[in-house]
Amino acid sequence: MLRAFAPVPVVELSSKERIQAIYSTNDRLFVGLASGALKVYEIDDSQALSDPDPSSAPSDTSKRSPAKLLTTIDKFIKGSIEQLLGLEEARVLIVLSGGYVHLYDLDTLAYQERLHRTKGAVVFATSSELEFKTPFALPPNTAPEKRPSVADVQRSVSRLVVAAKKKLHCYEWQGAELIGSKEITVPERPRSLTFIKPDRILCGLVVEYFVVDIPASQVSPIFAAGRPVGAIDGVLAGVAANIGSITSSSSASSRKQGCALAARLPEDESVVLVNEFSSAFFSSETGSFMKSKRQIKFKDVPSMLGYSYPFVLSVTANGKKLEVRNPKTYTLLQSINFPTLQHFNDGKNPFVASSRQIWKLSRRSFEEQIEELIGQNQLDEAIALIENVDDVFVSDRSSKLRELKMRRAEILFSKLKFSQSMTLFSEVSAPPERVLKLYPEAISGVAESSEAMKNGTDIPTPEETSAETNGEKSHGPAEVPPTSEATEAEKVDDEERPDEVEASTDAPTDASTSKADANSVSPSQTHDIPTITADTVSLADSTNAEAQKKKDLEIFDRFLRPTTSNSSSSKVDNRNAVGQGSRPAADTLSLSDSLANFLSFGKSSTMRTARSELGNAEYTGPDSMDGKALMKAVRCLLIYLIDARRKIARLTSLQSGTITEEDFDRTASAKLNLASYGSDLEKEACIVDTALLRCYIIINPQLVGPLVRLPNHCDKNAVRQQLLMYGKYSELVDFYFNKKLHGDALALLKQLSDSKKVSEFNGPEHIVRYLQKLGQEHLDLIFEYAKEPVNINEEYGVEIFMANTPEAESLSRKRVEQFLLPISRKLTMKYLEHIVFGLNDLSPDFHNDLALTYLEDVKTNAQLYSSDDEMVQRPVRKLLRLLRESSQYRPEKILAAMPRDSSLFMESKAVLFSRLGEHKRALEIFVFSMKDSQKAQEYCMNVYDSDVPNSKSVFYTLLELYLRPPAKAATNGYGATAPSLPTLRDNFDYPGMNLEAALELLSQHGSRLSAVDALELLPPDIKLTSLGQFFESHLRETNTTINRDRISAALLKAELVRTQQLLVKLKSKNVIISDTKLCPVCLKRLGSSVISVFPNRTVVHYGCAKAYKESSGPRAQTVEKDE
Amino acid sequence: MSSRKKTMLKVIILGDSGVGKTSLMQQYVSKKFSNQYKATIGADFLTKQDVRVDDRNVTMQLWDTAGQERFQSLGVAFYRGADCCVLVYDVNNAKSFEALDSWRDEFLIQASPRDPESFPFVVLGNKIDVEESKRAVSQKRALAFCQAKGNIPYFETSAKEAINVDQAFEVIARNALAQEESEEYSSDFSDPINIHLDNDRGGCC
Repeated sequence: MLRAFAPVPVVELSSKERIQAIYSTNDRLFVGLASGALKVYEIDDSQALSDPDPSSAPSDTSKRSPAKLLTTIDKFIKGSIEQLLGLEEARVLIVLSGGYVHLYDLDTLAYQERLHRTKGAVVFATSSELEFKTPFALPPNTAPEKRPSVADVQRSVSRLVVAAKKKLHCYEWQGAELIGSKEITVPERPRSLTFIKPDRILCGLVVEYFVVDIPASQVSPIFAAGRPVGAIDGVLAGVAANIGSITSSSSASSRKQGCALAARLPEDESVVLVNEFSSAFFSSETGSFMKSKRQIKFKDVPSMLGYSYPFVLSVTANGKKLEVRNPKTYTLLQSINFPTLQHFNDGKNPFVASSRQIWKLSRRSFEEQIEELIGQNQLDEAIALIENVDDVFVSDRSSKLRELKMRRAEILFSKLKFSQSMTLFSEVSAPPERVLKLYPEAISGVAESSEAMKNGTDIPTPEETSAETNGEKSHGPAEVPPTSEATEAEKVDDEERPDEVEASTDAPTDASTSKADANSVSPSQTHDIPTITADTVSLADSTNAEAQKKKDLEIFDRFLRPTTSNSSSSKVDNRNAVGQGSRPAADTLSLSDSLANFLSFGKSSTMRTARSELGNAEYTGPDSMDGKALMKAVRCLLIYLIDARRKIARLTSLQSGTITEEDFDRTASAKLNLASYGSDLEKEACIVDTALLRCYIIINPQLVGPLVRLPNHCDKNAVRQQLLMYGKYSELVDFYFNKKLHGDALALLKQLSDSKKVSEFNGPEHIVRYLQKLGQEHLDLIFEYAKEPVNINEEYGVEIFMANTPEAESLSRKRVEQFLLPISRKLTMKYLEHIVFGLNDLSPDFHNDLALTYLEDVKTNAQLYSSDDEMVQRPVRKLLRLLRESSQYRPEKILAAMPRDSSLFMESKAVLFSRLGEHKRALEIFVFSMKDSQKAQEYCMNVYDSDVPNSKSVFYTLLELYLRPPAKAATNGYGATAPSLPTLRDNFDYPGMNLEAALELLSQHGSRLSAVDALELLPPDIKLTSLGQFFESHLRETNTTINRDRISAALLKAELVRTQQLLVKLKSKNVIISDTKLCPVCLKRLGSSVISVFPNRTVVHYGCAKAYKESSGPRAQTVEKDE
Repeated sequence: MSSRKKTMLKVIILGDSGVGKTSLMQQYVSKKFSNQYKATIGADFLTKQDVRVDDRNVTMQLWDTAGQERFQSLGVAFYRGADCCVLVYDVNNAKSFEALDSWRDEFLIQASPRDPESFPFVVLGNKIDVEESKRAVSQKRALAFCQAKGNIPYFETSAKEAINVDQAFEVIARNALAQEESEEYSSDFSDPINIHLDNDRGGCC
């Protein structure tokens, strides 16, 4: 039981005097007596607060009274003082006596006036607030100039509302000045008045309430169409009976007997309405009932009701008990016994009074209160309290609140309410270490060692004995307020711990027994009555959570039932009787058992020492959980882990600047800051992700893949260990790939493929597939691991290096070539072909290399096969194709590499010579080596270009070769049939002369030869007939040229005539610009400026042309002329 | 199981930014399309009432999520309790197609369904109204992906021209309903997971 308030007796009057009304300001206490006397005390706050001793009885007058009597005015007023209140801003003391309201000066207590109109007043209420609006009532007689000046200015407004008969008299002060009054007629006589807003008052009648909007003079019943709403039924139905002759005086609820009560909860923007049997919350903002809030259930009907931040205070009907409630959880936090209380002044300095005595309710600091609640394990209450009070009252409030919620979550966990627990942990973004501590090492990974890798033959039997008993004991009697869902768990508790049953049922009875002592003078504290316990766990998805909860319960129930109902032995399935700790005799173990075994292997055989938790209560380590519960716990842990994972990722991107603060705030639905998970986000992320992995391995192995493939922060070693243990090799490879730990991945793949244990990984396919995904930056790694597969099958090399992927294309071609070269020439060739023809690589090196590789190939194969064989001919063709098509290689280099005498390279050589511009040598090959005049002619036709000097003479060169074969042709190794004799220039009969070919050439291509040159080469004894064709073609060609030239000459002549004609025509179109000629537009001299001449021969300035064109219409066409 | 019961199906729509998640949803629920691009911030949902699936009447709650990383929600795990996940890409954007795998993985982690293998996904290739020459992902490639991921149903849609949208969502609703029912059924019993675990152990030792 909390001690939120300590009653401090301040005043005790003689038996003759009777207290009728009390009112306190900050340091003064005004006491109105039935005799009409007024006593004023000064309250010493410091002393009152320093007296937290709960045992000090209010009657203990021996103690120095903290109140000092300042003055007693015996004949303060004629009649008895019925109600006493002050307006501090207006410095007015308001007294209700003899059916009138009287005003006094608050400081001097001098009589000011009697409010005549208030005749028949029964109750009044005051309010004093700052407001910005214009005053509600400015009577017509008020000076009009006042109105605008005060509008919209912040000011303090004090209001007094007096209920007299069926009227409300409202007065308003601004500062110390009474500025207006008005009357509002109401349908019934109000019995109580409560301000719910500065300008709105709630009137309690005998059976109902209505709200009066004072500025608008509007009266509205708070039930729509007279029909009561929901919870308020009771309020209406319960016709307030005469609850004794108590007259309270309170600013919050000024009450006459037999009417409903109300107290304003300013923090909540609401009003709590209470009548005899029930209560309801009414929003002062919207003017409607707050259905979401449950009722406060009062055990004793309150006679007085008030509010003192942040508690709801009420006095029981018999006046013997003051009850303190948390308005959020409605829990009764404290009840203080008093002799019959009759008066109650709430607010910041609450006082209570009986007819002779007055006590100050001194509030203990909130920090102390919270500590106390924690000490009593009333975490829910502590959380509710801390959530309710302002930052200023509790230092470090948010972190305290977070801590409390985490503890609460831990308790929920120990009660096996995993889902709620984890949701709560997520809500406060608890540090992962703390949450994981609740789990066995198989999940948390703490102290995981190589033991985990061992087989579980020496598994220690999990000590299930302690599981339930100890686990449940961790929350002792203090944990009594049971949430409704807890009933199942509690039921179990009860049977296991008979003593606890008594404790929990004690709670309500205690309250009633304490009633018996209520007469005792000393205020004793009674036990807490668990009326309603708020479920502080805010569930993100309530429907889901509800279903989950229910399911959890069922499972838990099913699981525990055999244990609890052991005595009745109605259950068949005895194997699950883990709670009893007796290992089942049955030879088959339940799944849950074996799981527990499994999960506990790898950790030390001794249980972790129970750690002290929550006020010496024992919390047995997580290891005590049995399989099924653990399974559920792990499943629920996902809630937390996934949430934490997302939050940390978000924070990380905030930290790294990937997202802006603004975006972060826009999407953050929960309060979250960088401090939530500590500074080392990377570490926390690692813990969370690794734990997530462990969870998945246990409960949902199929999700391991997605996790390791996504960006994650899993600990490398833990992942390796776990995944290896469960044989999740491909996931491990994926993980390595994701983490760019390619070396590890490949080593693993290699190991797997070597070991041949896992059939799936046999052979190098996996390695190859992995290597395909790597790019240039991992080239060394690729080379390291590619060698083996390539040696096995060269096709793998194709897959790795020649795949049509950006990765394969990114590889350094030179290095790949160098890598492949020593392995296989064929593969190298393939690769070079791939980059030269496939990728159109233009670097000369590759073209050279490819040509040389072909060359090598031909050479090698030529030794093995006959030269006609396809094995030889194919590379020859390829080489020729490359040499012809590519323009990137260096012919000299290739020529140098060619064997001099091989007949296989003749044509290639010709191509190379051609490239070098050595047409003669190329032709020599055709003529002498190959003796293929057809090819020689083709060559000439390809090369011939009359515009290029070197190519122009190619036909002549060929002719020369035919007619004047060089002597060296026999000896220079071109493989020609050797003309053996030395040649002489004037000897016309050259050996080896090929007249036939020469004549054919002349007849076909004679026109491309100079006739003079050709004739000179021809032997003089040649028959003219054989030259007929040559001459004919030559003449034709010459005639063609002549004709063509004639035509062009004629055409050019015609062109000349036309141009001359044009000149004459243009010359005739002139204008004369004299010194005096003016521009018709600007009327200035044209002088020598740029002009425009129009077809009608008008001359204007160039700049004036536009203006002229516009003025003279579209006819005018411009002819521009520069002068 | 009573077929009269009102069933609420939760469907999550994922995919890269700008592939048309919101548009598809708008087209399906309210038959509207806007050419203007507005990034979704956090998450949002639309409800489609009275969807007929065979003889059942179901309500679909379609969760639209932010594709842009900077707008992705931090809030409560709205992935949880999903009955179907729709993966959307833009057929004219190869990158958005390549991201599907990651979106799928992300969903599986966030939702952690009990049986990931059987959890229903549907892939939508959106924006097929754009001219053929701009197309970057062939139908064949998309189908191969879907096939590899366990025969995920595939639709080529256009939210703009309302092509295939209703048909796609009909399948989504049907699969979601099947998932919902299997979840209901399996949740009546305790975890089937132990079995998996045993299998896995057997595999490694």
